[in-house]
Amino acid sequence: MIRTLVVEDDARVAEVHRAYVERLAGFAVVGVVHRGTEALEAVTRGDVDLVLLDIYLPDVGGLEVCRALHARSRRPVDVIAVTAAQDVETVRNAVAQGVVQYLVKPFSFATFRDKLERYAAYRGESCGGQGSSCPSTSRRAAGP
Amino acid sequence: VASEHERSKLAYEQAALSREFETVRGLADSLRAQAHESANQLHTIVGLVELGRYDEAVRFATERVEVAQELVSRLQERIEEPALVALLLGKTAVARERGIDLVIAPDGGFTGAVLPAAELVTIVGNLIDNAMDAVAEAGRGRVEVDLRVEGAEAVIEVRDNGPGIAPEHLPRVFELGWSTKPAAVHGDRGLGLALVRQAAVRVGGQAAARCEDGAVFTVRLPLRSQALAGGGAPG
Repeated sequence: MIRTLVVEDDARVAEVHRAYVERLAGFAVVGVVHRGTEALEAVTRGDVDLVLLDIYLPDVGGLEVCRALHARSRRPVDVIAVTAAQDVETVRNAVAQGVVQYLVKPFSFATFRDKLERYAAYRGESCGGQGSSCPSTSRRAAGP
Repeated sequence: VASEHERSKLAYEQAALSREFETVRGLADSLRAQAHESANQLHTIVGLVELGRYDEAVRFATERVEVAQELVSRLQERIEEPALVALLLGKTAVARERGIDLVIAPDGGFTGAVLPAAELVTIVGNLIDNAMDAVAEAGRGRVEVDLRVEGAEAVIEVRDNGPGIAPEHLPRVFELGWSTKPAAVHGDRGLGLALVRQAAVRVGGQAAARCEDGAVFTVRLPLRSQALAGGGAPG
């Protein structure tokens, strides 16, 4: 199970993302927080494999959170960046900060599922969807 | 060796160039914030539809349209100057993005007043940016903008609930390079308020600062058309 933390300042969008993650096999939401500082606290406590991170946070920016995550966590935590900025620089910076995937708002559930399943396959721990091949040895059954 | 006069002249010219740059950058930032906000709202609607929460999606979309229309029509009616209306709409989006409550006094306005658009945008934009920076740290930040006509003057007042300004610093806040913010983070701090005073002085007005719970900045511009048409550098 990929333990996922949702970080998103807009409460309504956060709930949408939580529901999206909960629909995917192999993923579990371990928390929903609205600020960068809360995200760092949650990750520091442990039990987080993946952070679904909004790049625009009101307190510290998402990229700052990325940097801090890499600096302080003993175990690597993967980050999928969620951004409304189509600007190249933000995305390039995000990739430089260890972001494994990014999603540009607005996106549909199909796009979201596609990115997260590709991430799961890459991570080699799980693969959702129907009939997709999984490189992992610990293959899990994917529910609808 | 440059004389005191030459140095201040250089500083003035430098600030004039920076002013243009700051104004353009401020507008670009506002547009980016508005685009971001629109994308977020669209994303919410898509999400609610995907989750089958149709009533909520319709309610959310309808509310956003009403709020936006109400603000635009109120500003257009009260402010009239399109550049200033655009600026205020942009700053509202920036404020929402930064989690700051930006309130534009509902009973004010510049209805019927002839005012220089470029200076207005410089003054109002920089005062709001300064206030938002002041409250950004604390959380629950609030910035109030009051635009009104008082006798023969247009009054722009921007107040925030930030830490305020120490009395000994009040006389210096409009000086070029003065700032409470660390230079390492904000390379160009200390420019905004200097630009505000410069713009005010250029059209025969004045700028003042005081402390009341937070900082309060007041700019007064004469409504006399003669002074407004004049322009040019002071001194």
